Amino acid sequence: MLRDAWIYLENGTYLCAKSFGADTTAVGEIVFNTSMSGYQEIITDPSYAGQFVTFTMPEIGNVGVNAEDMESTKAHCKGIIVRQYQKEHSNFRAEEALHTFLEQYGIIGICDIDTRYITKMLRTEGAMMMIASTKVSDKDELKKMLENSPRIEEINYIEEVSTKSAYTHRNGIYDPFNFRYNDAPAPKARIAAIDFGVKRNILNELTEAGLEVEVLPNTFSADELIERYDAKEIDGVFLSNGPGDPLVLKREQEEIKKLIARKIPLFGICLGHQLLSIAHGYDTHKLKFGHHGGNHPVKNVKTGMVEITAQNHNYNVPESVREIAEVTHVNLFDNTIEGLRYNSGHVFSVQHHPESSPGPKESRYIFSEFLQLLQR
Amino acid sequence: MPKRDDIKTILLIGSGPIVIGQACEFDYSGTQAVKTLKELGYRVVLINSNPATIMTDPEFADRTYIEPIKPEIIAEIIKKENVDAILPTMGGQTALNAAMQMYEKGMLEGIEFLGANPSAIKKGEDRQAFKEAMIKIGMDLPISRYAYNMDEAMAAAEAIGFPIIIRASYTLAGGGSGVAYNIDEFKVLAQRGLDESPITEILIEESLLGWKEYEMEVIRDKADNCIIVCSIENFDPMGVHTGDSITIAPALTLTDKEYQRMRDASFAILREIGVDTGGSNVQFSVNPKTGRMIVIEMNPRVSRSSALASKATGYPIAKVATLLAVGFTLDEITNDITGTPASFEPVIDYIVTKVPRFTFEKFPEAESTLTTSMKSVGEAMAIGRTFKESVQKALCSLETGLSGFDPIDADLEFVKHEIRRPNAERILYVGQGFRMGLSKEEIFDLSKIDPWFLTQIEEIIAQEANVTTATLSNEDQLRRLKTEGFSDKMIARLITQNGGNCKELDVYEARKNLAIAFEYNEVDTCAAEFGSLTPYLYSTTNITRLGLQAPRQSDKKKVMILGGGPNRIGQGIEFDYCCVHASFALKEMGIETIMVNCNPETVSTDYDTSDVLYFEPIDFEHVRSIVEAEQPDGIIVHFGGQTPLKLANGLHAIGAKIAGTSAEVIDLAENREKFSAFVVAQGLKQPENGIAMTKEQAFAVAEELGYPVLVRPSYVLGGRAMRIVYNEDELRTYMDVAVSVSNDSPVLVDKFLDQAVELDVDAISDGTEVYIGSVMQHIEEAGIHSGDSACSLPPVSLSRELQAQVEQQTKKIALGLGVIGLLNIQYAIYQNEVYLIEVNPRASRTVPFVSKATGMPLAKVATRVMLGDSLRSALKYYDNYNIVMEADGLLKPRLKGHVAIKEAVFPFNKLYGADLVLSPEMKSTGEVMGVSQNFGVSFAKSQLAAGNKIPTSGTCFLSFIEMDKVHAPEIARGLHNQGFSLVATRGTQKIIEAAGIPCVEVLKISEGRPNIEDMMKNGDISLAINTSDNNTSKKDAEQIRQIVLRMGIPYFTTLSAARAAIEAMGHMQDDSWMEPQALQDYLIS
Repeated sequence: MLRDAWIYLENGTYLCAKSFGADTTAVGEIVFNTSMSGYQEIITDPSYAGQFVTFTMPEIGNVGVNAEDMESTKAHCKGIIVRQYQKEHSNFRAEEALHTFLEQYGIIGICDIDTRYITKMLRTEGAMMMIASTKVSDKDELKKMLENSPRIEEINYIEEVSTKSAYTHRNGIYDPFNFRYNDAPAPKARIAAIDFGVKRNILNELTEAGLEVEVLPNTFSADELIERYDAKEIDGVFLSNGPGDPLVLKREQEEIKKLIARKIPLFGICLGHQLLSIAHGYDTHKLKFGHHGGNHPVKNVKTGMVEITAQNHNYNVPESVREIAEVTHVNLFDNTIEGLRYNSGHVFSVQHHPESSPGPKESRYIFSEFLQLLQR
Repeated sequence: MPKRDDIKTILLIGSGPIVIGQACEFDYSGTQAVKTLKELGYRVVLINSNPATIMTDPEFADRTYIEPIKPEIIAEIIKKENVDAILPTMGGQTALNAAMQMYEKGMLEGIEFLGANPSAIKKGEDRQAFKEAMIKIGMDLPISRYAYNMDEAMAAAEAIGFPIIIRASYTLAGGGSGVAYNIDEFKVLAQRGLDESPITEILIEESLLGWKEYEMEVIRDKADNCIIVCSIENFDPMGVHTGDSITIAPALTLTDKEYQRMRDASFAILREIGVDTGGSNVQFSVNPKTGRMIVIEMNPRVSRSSALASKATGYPIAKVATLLAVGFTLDEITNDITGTPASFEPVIDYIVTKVPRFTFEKFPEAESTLTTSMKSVGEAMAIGRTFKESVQKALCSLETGLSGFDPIDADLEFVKHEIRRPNAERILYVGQGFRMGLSKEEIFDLSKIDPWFLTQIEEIIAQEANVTTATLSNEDQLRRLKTEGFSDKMIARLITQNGGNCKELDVYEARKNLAIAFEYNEVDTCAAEFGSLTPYLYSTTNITRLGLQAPRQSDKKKVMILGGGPNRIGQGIEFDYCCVHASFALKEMGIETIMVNCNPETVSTDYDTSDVLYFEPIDFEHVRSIVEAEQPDGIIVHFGGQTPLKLANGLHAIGAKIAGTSAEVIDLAENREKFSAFVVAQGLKQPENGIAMTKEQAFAVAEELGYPVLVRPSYVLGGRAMRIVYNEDELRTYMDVAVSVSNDSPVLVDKFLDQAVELDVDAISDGTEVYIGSVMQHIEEAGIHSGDSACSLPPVSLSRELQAQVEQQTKKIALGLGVIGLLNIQYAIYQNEVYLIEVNPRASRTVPFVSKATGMPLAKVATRVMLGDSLRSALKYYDNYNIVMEADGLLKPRLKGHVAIKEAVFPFNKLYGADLVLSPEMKSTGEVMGVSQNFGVSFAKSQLAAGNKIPTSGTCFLSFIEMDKVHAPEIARGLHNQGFSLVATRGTQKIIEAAGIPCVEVLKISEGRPNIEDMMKNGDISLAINTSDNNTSKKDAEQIRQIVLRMGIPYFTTLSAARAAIEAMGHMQDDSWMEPQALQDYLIS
């Protein structure tokens, strides 16, 4: 059942392994994620477009996949790399096995490989490009193919993952006691959410918090939004997470500048948080290997409480942004900025994922804070 | 917030002796706590009745009280030492119960509770309060009712229906709990639960048998930050106590949504129960079909699971909990391993399997079905990169002779039966079931073990047929087998089974040729996201060929210490104590220490104890690999009991340097023939003995020696399967059992020295001089295993002359053998002559007791000697209390006038059905110490600490076996003079009456009504002296002993113990005998 597979990394590492999922060749940036649960949510998170996700959790596939744990309509990553794949899953919610799911989306799964070795390599050398194939085994050939492929920074994955047309989100968060999604409660405000690769659970949480959420593609027009804001059709705008380097998104940055100038209430998560910083004139930089996991401690500066958070980002805002914004959250692992409230008073954002999924839920209150901002 | 300055002196309450459900893990947590508090500058006072603990070393706490853990005694200590606050959460149920009792009685006015407050403890432990709290926060619970008497219990059973679970409140390790399938079983269990609960409260619950079971280890700080340290999934579904289940970390069959639901619930529960600071264990059950999640229980304290979680993740729960208790928040504490704050959740990139260790073979009458009341005596843990590697490694770590999924010789029906019935070998039966063609579905139906785990085992078994001689040259296949945890021994066995001819070493050679070797990964709390600063390592075979890891370099000398493996009867915390001491001593010598062990409960596997820790099975394959990776300058195999000692020859053969006493000497002492020759050559006396390979031979030898004789297999620990037989018939019966036990290896037959006095001597030699660490006298007569016997230091009735002879013989043996390090010798004084019983050129289990009682840490001194220091110099280094003196060509301790008694503690109350008769086969799980200025008081304290408090008035029940009846009047008179009324069974009563002492006859159970059972159940008996021997299994006598246990009646089963009790009574007229005194005070005088 397991095919042979070969991977070649930018730094010259060539490894033999096995594969499950699609029978194909793929190129992407390799990162690792330390979450011990929720592989389906990670695989279907559009932020991973263009990337290979190495799971440090060694046993993957245990609980199969199901229709409810999709964080978007399809799986977006280039491939996954795991230590051990178990094709016989066991969970009452499972509807399908992970390998057939991956096949369906053309995604390669690499297994029987030392993921710890890879993690340590990425930790010391930083994220890098790689190629994986079930068809090509020759090292030099793989090397050539990799060198001839575009780097992740060169592709705008947002185009691929953003919604093509606008729609209104229809449900709240998942009720894990009754195993169903909540109906949307009566909304207290209305927002436009710009989809750069939005995770479904963000939309669920926004809706659960009492917002009516209209999801718009990344091709949004700021002028249009300003018009609708003036007409009181929307009360604010949300900027979502998404894949890739925020610095390349020039058009989006310009549009956001307009929204800021018009003092529209804005809330951003992850990529959204980064775009806001850039739009305010403070460029982001790339981290060595990013934060990807579900155990990062983030301190809420005001309350002093520590939240364990889900993280998935490769870029970060600069310290200089403190000139125009208050830092509301800090990562206790490396003291990087995790949350900002701009001095202008109508914009705030977080780097981590308060909607988690997968991950801990103590940061959810942020969505209610957005409603509070809109109601002011 | 920095630590609290308003408290100065903190009292830590320990957990007492090792018992089922409460073992070394509390020495581990307690030691971490004491260390942490001292580092913060607090004055630490400690009470713990268990001398076999690191925490009770006099250098550890400021004031150490080795006293019974009882409210009155604790209250005295609080007064004496001006204690400001108590920390009762590091001593298991024992500490918590003592603290709560004191609180309820108002004995803790003005004293602060650290780590947990009384209301939180109550809500967590009291089943009713817990239920109410859970309902309040909307948690789902099993349908249940509580009951305070049998009527209420029966009504609840009616309402709920069978199968049904009974849980008793405020008991340890599920004591008083069980699963009832019908009304008869229910009546027994409900009564037992009511008896065992200190507040006579039981919870009667719907059965969740077959549901999945999970545990979460949670920590909360005073700022309300909460984290999950570890999630644990039980391989054995609901119905088996978590301590008796095979458990895995992390949880493997939950989706994120289910996991987060459990995580959120854990925090809500901690908050509602009110655990302000510290760690807790919360248990959940999940319906595998519907996903319904139910809360089972929580422990608002550090527990066995916290120790496991700490070792599994590298996150030191007890240390952090202690810091939280004195005011720090999680983000103010640093994680030693990564240098980042402790306010995070560890992530792991490996799988951990914990397997429980049982010793049912010692208690054949006990119910061996695993239920909700814990029965295991210890556990082993293994780390692997995959579940398969982890689980096979765990089986190898158990020290039960397994090399993986060993086959079982049984028919299919029996195999199915044992898959259905939770038992100690169930996982092996699952393997066997697959081997015999059962499908996964069938096995699931029988056991309800999650199919995910079953698939893994099925795949392991499926590999077996493909393992042939060709495998040894097939790199892919051999590597794959190793990554799945197949041991070299197992591979060799399979190859041989499949037509080849292969030994374990052949597989090793094959691997070497193919460059397939273990690699060592760090346990780093972060799945390699950050670099780690603490070398805590485990082995794995890499699925990816990366080239061999280079041996680890160091600029210091390195010495490796092999630990004792999982706790079991005969091998427990005492050996771990010695290993830890060795590590401390080596550090003081500037030597780098490498610890190897697979027991998650111990101080030895705390990564702080040594410079490098290898969490590995202590078998030849794994140890050899570490030796190759480390190339140590010396290996200490003498401190972990029999487990590492067995490896001495093998290690020596591969050129590894054994420190101290050589492999040859070890072999000489264990080999009967060689040793007998040595004894003769030295002119010493041994009981006559012989070896038998067959039954006929055994009869012949016994005839020649003359009955009674002591029979046993060779090379054992804890005297397994040893028996005293008094005639040929008994011998015949024994041989039927023994030959199957010893697998055709010889059975040893010794002349048994009836009524002899036994002595235990621990000594140290450097090859030139000898230090007599102690001479201890057993209180029980010979015939009781030395580990089970109470003993006295100094001896209570040994003449100067005989003691001198014993000391000189010890010197002769030590020097004659060539011991470099520790030596333990057991002697018997028989008809005024000194006989040699056993010589062990290694640490013995009495070392911790002797070290405390004399003030000289024997294991540390021995370590220095083993590494080349002279005995005098080593002794001087550790002579803090001016102990060592020289006399008669020997070095020995100057005793300070106090008397220390070591008493054994037994698991009979947990192993229902097990008989409490003592024998040459060891049965105790732990020990306590009683110390004072005289024998009587020390004995009284030891009994109190062991849970067998000697009464000073009331009615005493007497019943002696034939052999002992002649002594009955003496005992009776002693009791009569104390003011006891006496009742006895007919034979005993007659003799007592004939001697002129009033004694009423009472009927045996079979003789009619009312009988002794009635008297006992009515609470009329306050003391029972019922002697027996290990052959008596007359039903009546057994039944009487069962009731004694159930009713908690103090008892003695030997004449000598009875005499000691009577002497103790003489000092117990008022309560002054309970006056506590710090160990430091005894030693300084």
